[in-house]
Amino acid sequence: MQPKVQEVLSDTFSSILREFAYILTERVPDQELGSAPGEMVDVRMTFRGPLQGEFRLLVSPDACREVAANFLGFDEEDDFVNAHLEDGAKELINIVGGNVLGNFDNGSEPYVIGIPSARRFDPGEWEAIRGSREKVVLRGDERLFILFLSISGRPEA
Amino acid sequence: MVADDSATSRTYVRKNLMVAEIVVKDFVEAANGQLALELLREQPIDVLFVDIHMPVMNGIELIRQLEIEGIKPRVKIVVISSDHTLKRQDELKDLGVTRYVKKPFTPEQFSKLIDEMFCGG
Repeated sequence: MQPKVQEVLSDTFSSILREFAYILTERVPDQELGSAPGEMVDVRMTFRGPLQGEFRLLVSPDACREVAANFLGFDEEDDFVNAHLEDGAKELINIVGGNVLGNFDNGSEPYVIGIPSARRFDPGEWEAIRGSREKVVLRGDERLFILFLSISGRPEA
Repeated sequence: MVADDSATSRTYVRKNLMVAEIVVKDFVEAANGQLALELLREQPIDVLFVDIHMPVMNGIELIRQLEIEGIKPRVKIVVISSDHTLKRQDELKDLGVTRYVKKPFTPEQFSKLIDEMFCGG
């Protein structure tokens, strides 16, 4: 990922988390990523338009819970929050992705943003994640937020 | 009514209506445009808060169908979306939506929107 794109992704995510979930984040250097951090939600969202690609977010269920609870003003033990952890993560990537793409808008045509999908992260992928250059890692309240943005250029007609 | 595939987002709209002290007779939720259309055919709805990107039928398709079926003139339509490219905003203007709100929005922004829509700002 180009440094400029990393910066836009990191700044957009940090700003949204700070303003709407009251979580301050900091960038984490790749070399500080240790062993697989346990259970994580793996959310992805594709897009096409002037550029095409995919956003991906890896985040722990505890982080999902904190973000959703703070966003909605609910308690972290609230039934709604705990019943919709993946939904909250999907909405987060939808908001971040839309705002990142707004930074790349050239006014030519709108983006078609896909419906986010979520699954449990496969720990067998961790070494590939650690080695990937397509990611930005942030830490807030001792929780990791691992973001990916892959851009593959303009789609064929 | 709020039409959004995210339960979190629908709940956020509901919470912000409460914060804005809007008395809501019936708060109706739909997880996609098709479900929203079916509900809008069956019951009078004053305001539709609608996301753009939804499965089955998206928000743009829903608004177009409301126009075709003659439902649109009796509903105030507020699009709430993280998709805010210039072309998208032009498209929404052409569709005659009442208001456009960028996700994420603060309670203050939402209250201002409600105030402008119902109290003349």
